[in-house]
Amino acid sequence: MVRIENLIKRYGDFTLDISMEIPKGKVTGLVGRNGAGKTTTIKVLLGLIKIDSGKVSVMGKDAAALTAEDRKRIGAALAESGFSGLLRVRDVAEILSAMYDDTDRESFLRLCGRFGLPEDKQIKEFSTGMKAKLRVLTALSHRSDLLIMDEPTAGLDVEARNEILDMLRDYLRENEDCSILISSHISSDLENLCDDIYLINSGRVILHEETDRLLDSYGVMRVDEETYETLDRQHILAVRKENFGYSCFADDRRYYEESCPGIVIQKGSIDDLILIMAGGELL
Amino acid sequence: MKGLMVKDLRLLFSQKKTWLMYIMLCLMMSFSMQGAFIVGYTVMLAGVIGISTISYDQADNGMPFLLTLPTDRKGYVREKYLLCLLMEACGAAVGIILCEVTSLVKNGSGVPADDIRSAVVVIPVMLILVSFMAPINLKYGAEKARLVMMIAYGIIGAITASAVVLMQDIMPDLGHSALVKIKVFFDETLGGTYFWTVPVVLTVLSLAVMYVSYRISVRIVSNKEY
Repeated sequence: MVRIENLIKRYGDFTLDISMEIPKGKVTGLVGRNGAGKTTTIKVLLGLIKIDSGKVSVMGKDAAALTAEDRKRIGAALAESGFSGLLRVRDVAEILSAMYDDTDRESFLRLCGRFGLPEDKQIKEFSTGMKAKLRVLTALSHRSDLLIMDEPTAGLDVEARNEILDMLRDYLRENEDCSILISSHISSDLENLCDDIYLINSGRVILHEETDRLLDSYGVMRVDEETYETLDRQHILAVRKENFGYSCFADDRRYYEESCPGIVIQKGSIDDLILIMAGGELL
Repeated sequence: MKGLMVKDLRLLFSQKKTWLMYIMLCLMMSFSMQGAFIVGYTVMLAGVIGISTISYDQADNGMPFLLTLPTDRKGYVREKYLLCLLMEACGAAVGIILCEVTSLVKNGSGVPADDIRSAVVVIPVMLILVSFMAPINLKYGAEKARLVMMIAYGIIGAITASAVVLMQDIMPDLGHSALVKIKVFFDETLGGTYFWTVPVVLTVLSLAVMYVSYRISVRIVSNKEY
């Protein structure tokens, strides 16, 4: 569905240099710290910025050459961009039904009502959570082949985040062939949703793994300096210096459970992945 | 493009207080001013309102999202120019109706066709102004565009004033006599048979300028990163 090959995009000192793929019907997570290059990658996919070199193909076409018809098959929710704050939900319903052939005005309004978005209030008067919900509902208002979500839950409380994730799960149940790219720096958003995860740091992909394997096989060891010096490092991907010694992120938890029974090793999480791989030293 | 047009119209008509103010202003003007002055005013107002939708799109970083909707960059620009043309046409229609109605109320008779013709000349002037404002707004954003337009007006004003002073110094009689000749040509030669020739020719010329402006705007938006 989406293929990025050797993409290079330079912004002053920052260079995005990645390759990645989003298969049909899969949910792909894009994680990384703020400023890692997640939004830049998404903007490239949506044809909003130009690339310096490489190839970016979306639904079989160059991302920069997507037509209005192609865009009808894409649903996008951007982190800090949406409809004008002067509009109301009922205006948005009219606009969407004029834009997409399969958007039903009434069901969009019903869905907005279910998620507590009043029809007659200007968007500028909405809370951060309400604006985020509207952005996601807008992206889900029509049947898409590709959904692109940039930090859909950023800045929201747990309840609003869960509501947004529920919306996405409902959509996925009804549209099994839809491919989704979702960027986030909140691990719990992605652990139960994504089939695979790309971790990017300073503009580069530093890990790509299936979520199930990441959660089942990867692990984190917290060891003191003395233990660290004698530790077998063949499955350690990254280490991070801590007050007590080192946190080590390993790609084979069972190997260390069997070979180093005295060491406490916990299951890996996406938070650990970001903290240690993006914030530590790669081996 | 239909969706973008719906968005702009809904955006414009969502501001009820502003429209109430416009209506009050237009009514005051049409009753207080002579002839068909109001036509020029409504046409100018409509053009500015049409262009203002660009700044609404750019406010709160709205452009990236709009360009993810089912449109391409050329379609976005085309919609803006069509909206401005639509607004100008509505502005002219409202202006003519207003001045006819107020003239009937005040004088018991309609506005002379000559007055209407003079006022309608504002339409091509406004189309040309829109043709300058649109690409500048699309390239620099509404805030910077205001500054650019002010500088442009200043430069045009300074050049015109300098040219007039220079002409008066070099050939004191030419400027006046040339204007008189043009007026005589339009009034006597074209006056009866080709009464509407000047406004029509100017409108066609301004549409040509607008087309060039549209092509420039398409290039600006196509090359811009959002």
